[in-house]
Amino acid sequence: MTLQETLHLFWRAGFGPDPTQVPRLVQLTRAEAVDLLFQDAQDYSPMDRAEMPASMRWRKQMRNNPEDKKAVRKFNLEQLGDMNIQALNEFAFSRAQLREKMFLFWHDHFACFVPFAYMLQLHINKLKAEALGNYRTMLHTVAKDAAMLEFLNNTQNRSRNPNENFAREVLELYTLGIGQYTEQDIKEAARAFTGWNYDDAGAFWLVERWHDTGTKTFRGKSGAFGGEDILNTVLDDPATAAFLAKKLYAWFVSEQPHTEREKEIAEVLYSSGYAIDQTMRHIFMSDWFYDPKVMGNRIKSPADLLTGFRRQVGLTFKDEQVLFALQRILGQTVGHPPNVAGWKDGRAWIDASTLVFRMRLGEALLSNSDLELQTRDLPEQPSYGKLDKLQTELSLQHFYELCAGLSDTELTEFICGVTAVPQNKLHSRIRPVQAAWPLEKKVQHVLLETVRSPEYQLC
Amino acid sequence: MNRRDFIKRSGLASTALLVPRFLQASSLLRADNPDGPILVMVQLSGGNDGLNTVVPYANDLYYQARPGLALGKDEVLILEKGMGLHPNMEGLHEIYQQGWLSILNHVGYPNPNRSHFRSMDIWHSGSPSNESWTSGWLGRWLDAHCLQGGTPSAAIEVNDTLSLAMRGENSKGLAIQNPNAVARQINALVERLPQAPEAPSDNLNYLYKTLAETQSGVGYLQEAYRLGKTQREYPNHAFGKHMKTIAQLILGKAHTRVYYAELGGFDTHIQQKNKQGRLLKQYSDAMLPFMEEMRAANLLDRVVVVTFSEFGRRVAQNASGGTDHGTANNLFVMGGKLAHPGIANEAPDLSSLDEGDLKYRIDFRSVYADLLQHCLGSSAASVGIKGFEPLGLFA
Repeated sequence: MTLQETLHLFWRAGFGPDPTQVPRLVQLTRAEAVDLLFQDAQDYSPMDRAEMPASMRWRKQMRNNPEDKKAVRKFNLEQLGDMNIQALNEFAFSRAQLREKMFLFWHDHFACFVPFAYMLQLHINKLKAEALGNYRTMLHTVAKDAAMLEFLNNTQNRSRNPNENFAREVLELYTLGIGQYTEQDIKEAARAFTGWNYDDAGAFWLVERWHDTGTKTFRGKSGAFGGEDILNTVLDDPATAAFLAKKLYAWFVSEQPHTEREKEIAEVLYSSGYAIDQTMRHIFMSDWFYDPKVMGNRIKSPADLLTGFRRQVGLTFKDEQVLFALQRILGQTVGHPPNVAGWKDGRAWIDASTLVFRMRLGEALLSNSDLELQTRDLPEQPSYGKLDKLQTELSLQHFYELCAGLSDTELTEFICGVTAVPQNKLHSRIRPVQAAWPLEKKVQHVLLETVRSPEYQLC
Repeated sequence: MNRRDFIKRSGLASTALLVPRFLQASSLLRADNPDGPILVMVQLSGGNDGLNTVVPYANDLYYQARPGLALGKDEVLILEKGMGLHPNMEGLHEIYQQGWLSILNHVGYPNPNRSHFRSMDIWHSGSPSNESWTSGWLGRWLDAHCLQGGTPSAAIEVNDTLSLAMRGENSKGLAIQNPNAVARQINALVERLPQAPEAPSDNLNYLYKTLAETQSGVGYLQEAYRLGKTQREYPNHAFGKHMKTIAQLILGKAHTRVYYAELGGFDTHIQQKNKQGRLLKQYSDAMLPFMEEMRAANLLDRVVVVTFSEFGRRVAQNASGGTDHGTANNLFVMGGKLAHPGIANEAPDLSSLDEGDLKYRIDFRSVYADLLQHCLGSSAASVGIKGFEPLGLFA
């Protein structure tokens, strides 16, 4: 693969390559590189920062003991904070880059937040475990997940008084997509999900007395359907594969929709019985994935930007809690999607203030300098304290070693090439290094020029 | 490097279009309505307890529900209809006495959501409570009435990040705390940009273009900020400074039509009394000099200030000396052309509650309909909010 293709693959199927590995990775064929990503994806760690509480019925507990409310909230907020940091550290340092990236995709797709740490951890671990598995399995698992049932109010969905929220989001966001179902479909589906709840241990629990056992008519078929039947009916509909294919294309390939390529993805997804691994392999192996219009033309999400940077310069934070403020300002807190629809992607990441902040961030992290990080006070969000100083440690030794003996031009081309998308010949447009500088200064100069360029915002 | 050089150097494919389009857009706003109204939105984040802000001191039910929190008749600053302001709000009381304040009670929306997060999104987007919209009502106003992507200074949020309300599908407002500081930052970035790429991808072009527009917009604001001379004393806390910044930009004749400011910390589950009192004082102390400043500059007829919170709080106090999340709340409208100065509608009805919470009678989206019509030369329908007519808040 060319350098550009290599970077492209490892950015879209992960959070950017480890720069020290790039000279090795460019030697691989496309199939070998894709195999490597799938192989490494097996070696991942589930999230483990939240402690199992005595009972998962938090809400009830909080209602019954208003005095404990504050303590319960504090207990959860601390753990939610730890989970967030663990998630970001896995993004940055896990070998299982493809699984971590897929997890972020599913986390955006099944956007869900509950202020109960252990419940959210169970949810996240289900997404991670099935991230490259099967979408049919995943949908059934997530639909019976405590956090999801809680988040979408299905705990209040009872035969006498149905709550349609869960049924609506299943059809609108997880399967058929808007416009592919009727309001009547939602009503009937909601009836089938009545009584879907969770028990004290957070396991799925069908509350029989709240479940509507009557006949439902859903998309032309009638029967005493349960929730599983609804899920199977919509999964059997190719519209679900088409909907998911569009989402995968937009997320992994390009914001510009492409009917034929999306159709191709949908066919693989549907004919494989929703095998996620096969579908992703198909995408990464396709020639159109390496279309020059596609490569290097995606705006990094905040998670991409922060993680990619950490992977490149071996960055450690003296206090990792500074990550909370950074994510907040950049507009993406992992573990806390903004709403049921997930994050708005692509150009939505950029407004005037975030762009200026993004471009200053790399320099501030590299030079350990101040950046205004006072953030607004938002209740009920993990706010985890405030930090206004970035205290970082860098390890650039790997760059010094890789660049030893290179000419100034080679050094510039190498660093620009492995850190930013190697398009547009960025290396020839930045201010040049001076021959008299020591190696370290040359490396630092090129890195600095790269990370504050608009080009660095793309992957 | 000045902006012209930058644009030249950045070699944008659309350079020829970019400059005139940007200037065109800002002049369009000015030409359209040179002395047009200005809307200032003030958000009290965390769910301000409206019942201890505008106190129904004549209602026994209030004292029954809040034995430890209620404020007495002898404490409050008397208004009308058996209501009075929190004792710390002398500034607001003065604004009321001048006839520059309308208080609307019972403002909310159907099927209220008691999560800060969701309820704030509902207020920001203008969506029904069972839908999640991903753009804001003021952002969509920018989409509908400003040239696409341009004029980042038409709507300014004095804050570190941009709220959902200010994000449209294509256009966005600008979040800025101090125009001089941001101008310094962006000029330093632009000065050290790499040379322009020859054939930028569409997203790279978009980034260069956003940067150019931001530099231009911030430069414009910096000039207005320099020209605007405030005459009043503003309190020395963050919110006071933010209101001063807005006053300065308005006095400096910035073409900005929407300003957005925030005061947070109103989530008073425990020991509400001191905490809320301190915040209400901050709010009130900053609003009086702002309104007086507008009066002195003969701008009262143009400037409308609206204050809201994502929800009110439960009528009954809780066991920790605080209150929990509630629903409908009061909302303030300030300006010189009010149709109903004073308390515009009936006092909160504490006898008919929904699970312990006030029932809404005015949908906040009809308030938006008024603001869009009166201040922004638009309508609720043109920002995608259907079925709401203006209430007639303005004379």
